[in-house]
Amino acid sequence: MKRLHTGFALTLLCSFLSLPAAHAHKVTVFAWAEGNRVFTESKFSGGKMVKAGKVEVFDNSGTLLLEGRTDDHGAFAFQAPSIADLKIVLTAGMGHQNSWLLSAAELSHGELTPRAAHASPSESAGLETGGETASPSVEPGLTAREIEAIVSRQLEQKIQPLTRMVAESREKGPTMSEIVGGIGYIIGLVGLGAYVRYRKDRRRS
Amino acid sequence: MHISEGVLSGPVLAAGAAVALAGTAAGLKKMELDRVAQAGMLSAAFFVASLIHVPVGPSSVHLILNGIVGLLLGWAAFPAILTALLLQAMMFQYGGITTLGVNTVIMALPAVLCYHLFGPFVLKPSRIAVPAAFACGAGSVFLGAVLAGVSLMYTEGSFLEVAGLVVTAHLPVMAIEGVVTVFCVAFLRKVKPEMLPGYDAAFLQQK
Repeated sequence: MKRLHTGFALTLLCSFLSLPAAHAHKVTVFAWAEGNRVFTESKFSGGKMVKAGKVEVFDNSGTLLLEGRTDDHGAFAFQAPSIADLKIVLTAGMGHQNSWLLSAAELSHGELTPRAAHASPSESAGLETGGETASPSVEPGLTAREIEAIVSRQLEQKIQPLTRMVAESREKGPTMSEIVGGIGYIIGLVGLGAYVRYRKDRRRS
Repeated sequence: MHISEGVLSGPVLAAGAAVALAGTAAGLKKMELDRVAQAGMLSAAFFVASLIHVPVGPSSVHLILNGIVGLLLGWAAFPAILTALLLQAMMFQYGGITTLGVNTVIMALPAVLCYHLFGPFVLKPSRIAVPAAFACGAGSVFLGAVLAGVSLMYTEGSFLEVAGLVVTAHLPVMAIEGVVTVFCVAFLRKVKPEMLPGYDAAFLQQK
């Protein structure tokens, strides 16, 4: 029986020690923009996606612009109502809440993005038909605004994996040093208690 | 069961802080200095228990261990849990500083209640002690879930709906903690029965 207890204590200890990935009770929301469409992703810090969590979008003055619910993959996307700073608040139920600030600079004017999307196939088509000219012949037809839109769209595409990486690295749960640090604080407090106790003893004697 | 910042209304936060303060004061007053080390150990156990994630159900739940903390510490569970929660808020951003009081009450008050309810039975013969230990572990999680429901009902709508949700999410945790408490009590009865509540009384009776 005693063996069993020791085994149990050991497994408990092992589960304490082998848990860097397993943690809970914090919820995070992350948002990024593509054009004027805003995508959000919500997860519990254990890596579990928030299903049917309420997402509310506020503007700078704190008025509610829109709200929605996350799908099974913790995602929720919406059309930015205006180019302004947005505060995205996720409420995952049972008292879990977090928010993300999306600055106006990340949003671009939405009308340009679809036009740029149309521009790219016609551009490549132009290249194919007018195959003799080596340099893209459509260049003169592009206004500065369109070029800007194309560049920003491409940039968004290229940056997206990075944004995701950043989002994921932000969610690093408790590290070993934090866990050990916390326990250290408690041991320190116990030491303080012991000090007070023995000082009392010494005064008495 | 950690409630995040910005979820609760001001009065609820204030009430939570007041109760937590009173409980901590009572706990510190009642705690004999000889038991500081024990309180620290249980505080540390509570501190890491929240990192053990139970991957069952729609939400995200973790072990709490407030039943054991309460059973072994009584009122001293308040300062022990407060300390652990403060460190969790600082280190892991679980809960928050403003909700510290409410979260302390949610987890420590059931611990103290279960100490008084089930504590006297854990040194009785096994057929009484085992169910009592299980009820202590599971019951303190259950009561904690109910308290979380109470504190959330002012902001999240009807009490029954919220409490029902929290309780269901914590059903697996209740089962696990009930079993863990039974094991701990069984272990301590053999190895160090003087740590369990009611030891002095039982000892005197035997004499």
